[in-house]
This record gives sequence, C-alpha cells and structure tokens, in this order.
Amino acid sequence: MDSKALFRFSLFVSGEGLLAKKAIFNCKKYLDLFLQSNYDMEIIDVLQYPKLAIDENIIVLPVLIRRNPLPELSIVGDMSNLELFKSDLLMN
Amino acid sequence: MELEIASKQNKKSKYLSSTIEKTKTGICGFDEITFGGLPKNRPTLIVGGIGTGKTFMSMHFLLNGVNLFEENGVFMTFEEKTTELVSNFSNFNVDIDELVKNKKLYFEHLHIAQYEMHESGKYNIDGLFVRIEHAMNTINAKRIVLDSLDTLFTNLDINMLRNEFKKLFFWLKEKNITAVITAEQGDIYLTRLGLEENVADCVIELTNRVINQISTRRLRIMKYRGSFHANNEYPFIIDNEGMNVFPIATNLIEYNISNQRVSSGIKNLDAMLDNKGFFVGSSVLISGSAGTGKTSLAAFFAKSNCENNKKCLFCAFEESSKQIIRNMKSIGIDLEKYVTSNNLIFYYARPTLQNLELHFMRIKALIEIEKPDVIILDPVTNLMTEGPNSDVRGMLTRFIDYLKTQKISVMFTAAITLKSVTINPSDEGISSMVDTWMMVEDIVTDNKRNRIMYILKSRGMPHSKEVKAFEISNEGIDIYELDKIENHTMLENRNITTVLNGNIT
Repeated sequence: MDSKALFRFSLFVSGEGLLAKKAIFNCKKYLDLFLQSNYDMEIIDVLQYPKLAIDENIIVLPVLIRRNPLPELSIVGDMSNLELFKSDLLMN
Repeated sequence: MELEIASKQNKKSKYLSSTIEKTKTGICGFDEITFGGLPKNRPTLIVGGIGTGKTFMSMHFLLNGVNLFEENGVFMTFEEKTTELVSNFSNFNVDIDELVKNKKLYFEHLHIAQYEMHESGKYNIDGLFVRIEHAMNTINAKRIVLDSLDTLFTNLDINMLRNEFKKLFFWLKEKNITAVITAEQGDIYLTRLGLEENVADCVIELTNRVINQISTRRLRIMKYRGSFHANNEYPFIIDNEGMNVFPIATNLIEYNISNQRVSSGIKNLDAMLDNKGFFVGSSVLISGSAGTGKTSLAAFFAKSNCENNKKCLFCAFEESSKQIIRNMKSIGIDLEKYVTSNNLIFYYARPTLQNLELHFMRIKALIEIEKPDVIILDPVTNLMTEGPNSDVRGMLTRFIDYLKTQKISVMFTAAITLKSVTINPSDEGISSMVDTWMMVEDIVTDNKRNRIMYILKSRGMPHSKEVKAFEISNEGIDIYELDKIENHTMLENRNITTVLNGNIT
C-alpha cells in the first residue's frame, strides 16, 4: 500500500454475495470518479479474517472505513446511494 | 390379545419420544414447569419490560450451564458494558472472572452507535454472525445469550432486521447451541415482525407489576413448540441466591400419607382428636380473634415436640421471638431452653417488608437447612394483608403442598372468626386448605370472659364435636367441659353454626 496517498480506505465485506459485490463495485466506481487514483483501498472479507472484524467492532456490513484523512469515519451499505456517499466521503 | 397390547405400548412410546430434547436451566422451579428446561439447540426468546429480570435469568442460565452441567457459555450484550454486568452478579457464589479466565465463559459487548453511522444503500448485520461464531468457537460454547435485541431495533432498519433475525434464528439452530435471546418490546416489534410465531421455538414472558405497593414478579410460558408446558403465570423472586420460580406442585405424584400421629401438646385437646392428636405431615389451623390464646396453643405444640427431641421452626409475624418467649414463661412454658438446645428455631419477620413469595422463599430455605419436623406460622393472616387474595391462596397451596412432600406438620394461627369469614371470604380459603381446623373464642357470661374452643373439622379422623371451655393460667392450658360455665348467653350469636347443649350442629 502506498502510504503517501492522501485518501486511504478499508472496505469490509462478508463473503461474495450480492451486497459484497455491489459494495466493491460501487466503491471502486465512485472513488475513481471523485479521487481518480489518489486513493488506496484494501478489501477485507470478514469471513476469512474474523479477528479483524472484531478489532474494528464491526456489526453492520458492508462498511467502508476512511482511514485518511482523519478523522476516521465509516459508511455502511452497498454504496448505491451516490449523494450520501459523496457528501459523507468528502467530509473533512 | 398379546398383539393388541404390544401395539398399544408401541403407540405410547412413540408419543413420548416425540417430545423434544431439552436443556436444563438449573433455575429452581423453572425446569419443573417446562418439564425439563429450555428446548435444546433451539432459540428461546425472553420478553419483558425494563427491570423484569431478563438479563438476570439469561445470566443465571449461563452460569448454571457452567457450574451444573459443564456447558460453556457466551454472553453477548448490546446493553451494559461487561464490567457492569460482572459486578451486578458479584453476589453470586461464583467467581465470574475465574470462569472467564478458564475459558468457560466469554463476554462480549457489542456497541452500535447510531450517530456514528452513515448510510448509503442496503446493509445487513453479517458482522454479528461473525462475532458470534468467533465467540462460540473460542470456548466451545453450548449455550449463548444475546441481550438484548432492542438496541438493534432502535438503531437499524426494521425491515432489514426482520430478515436478519429470521436468518439468525435459523443459523443458531444449525450451530447446535442453546440460545437465549432477550427483547424488551415484545409487543411492539416482535409481534409485528412475526418473530414469535415463526422462528422462536420457545417464548417466555416476564413481568414485574406493583400490586399493593409490593413488586410482584411473574413468569409465563407464552409458547413452547413441541412440548407440554404449564400455561399459567408463576411468581418468582430474584435474590442473591439467584432466581426462584414457584410452581404449584402440579406434578406432585402421590406423596406418601402418614398414619402416624403427633400430639398437640395438650392432653385434653388430643382427647378431642380421636385420642391421638394430629396426623404427622398434616396442616392445622387455629383461628380466633385477637388475644384468644392461639399463640399459647401453638407454643404448647412447639414445646411438646421439642420435649420429644423433635425440631420446631416457629415463624413469628407479629410478636418477636423474645416477646413470645417472655409471654410463654408466664404460662409455665420455658421455650428458651429449647432454643438453646437447638430444638426450637425462630424466624421472625415483619410482613410489610417484603412480599409473600420472599417470605415463603426464606422459610423454605430455612427448612432445607434446619430440617424441622414441625413448623408454626403465627399468625399467617399478617402475611395475607400484603398480597391480593388469589395470590395468597396460590402461595399457600404451594406451601402446604411442599410441606406435605417433606412430611412436615404445620400449624397456622389466624386472626379470623366465623363472623369475619362472611365479611372477608378469602379467610375461608385457608380453612378449606387445611386438614384440621379449630376455633377459639371469647364469650362473655355475666361479667366474666371465658374462652371456648371447638373443632370444626379434622380430616381423616373422628373428632369431638363438643364445644369445650379452656383456660390459660400460669400453670398452662386447661380444657374442660362447657357446662361448667354458667349462663352461656353469647352462644346464641352465631352466624354459621348453632350450639345446642354444647354440641355443634
């Protein structure tokens, strides 16, 4: 991961179901749209890495956590609501 | 012929084996009314308002699982921080921290903060499943508690939750774990979501009502799929020993009835009781208005038992034990020495301080420790002003049944008279429950007060129908023939019975 990127995200999904696929797809799409390549996103499947879910106190899925810039914030859902996604995301 | 019998037996065993497997909770009384406990490896829902004991009951279920049945348990809470939970249960004789260290218990606090959540599109609670699975696997749990669902309700989308809970309940079933899930808003959310009907195999309702200023806890099994269960509401209490449910002993299979007798402590009274006295393990009621000598009669009963080296538990609800000892000294009974010899144990409690169930609970605990042969409740009517009449009746029935199974003779005194029975019909209730009922009364003849007594009933034995006079002096109790009293004018004023020549008709 390129730690010099301004925006860093962690996307937690569970398995490869519809919600997971949608979330991954939408995230990539919109982040590319707004941030071009100036971001890093890691995708974590909690079914494979349950401990990570516990560490982050994750109950609702899928969830995108913005690591950088601070403050950390999270958005839950399959990211299909663009407006909300945009406004929350670019919040500083 | 043989074939017929064989097929009938087959049918019977098929029927019995269709009842589902159950997991004992270890909660006193609860396993009885459910005929074995909660459905094994299925989810049970406990619903009830705030403060009704849901968290307590589920915790008790878990702790018993570890201590009594070697089943490890997971407690997932959406509510309190786990440290608070542990301190709330610190009164238990269990070191919870030890159990956690030894991987028998696993606590987890799941925190969902609505205000932090930004939403975009659809989501579910898969993360919860992951957490639960991890917790279960960490300690190989056979029992799990989720406490409570309401926090989820208030924060998340209801329709999503509807599907998720169905999923959760089915998922839990597959995991071979007995789950207890608590929810507060049973009526509002769950019924609307149809959870009760569809997915919970067993639903238990807890209530905590305030009746006559006393808080009264009740438990009811609303549903238990695949099993017989008791249908009524049952009182229960929660104290530092845990939770205790009081079933009416419905599955009291025939307990052994004794033919043995125990003396009343007064020779002439025994004479009225077929010359032998009361049946061992029976119940006796001495009723009469205040100051008629009921406690004294009870004291003689206590004394006679103590003399024969039996144990007597004297439950005093009006006078303190010291008072009773002092008063009885004045009529020639030394109770003190029996207290010293541990034949006589006093239980003194002000009835107003706690509810009926708690009293009986404490007495029952004392009985289990001290194992008395006889027990005296003086007067039982003091307890009865504190609870609504039907509750009292139920409680008394349970209590008397319990004593019968323990073969403990019980003597109640009650401040009721035949007149008061018509005013307060519940008073009649006790008299119908006991085996022997005698009445003491004051009558005024000319300017002198005399005491009379008579036996209204005594099941299973021929008893005297005579009205006798009795007198208490510093030499004890004397019972003699009525016609020694002149001009018994008051004998005419009887509502229910008439006395003719000293006989009851």
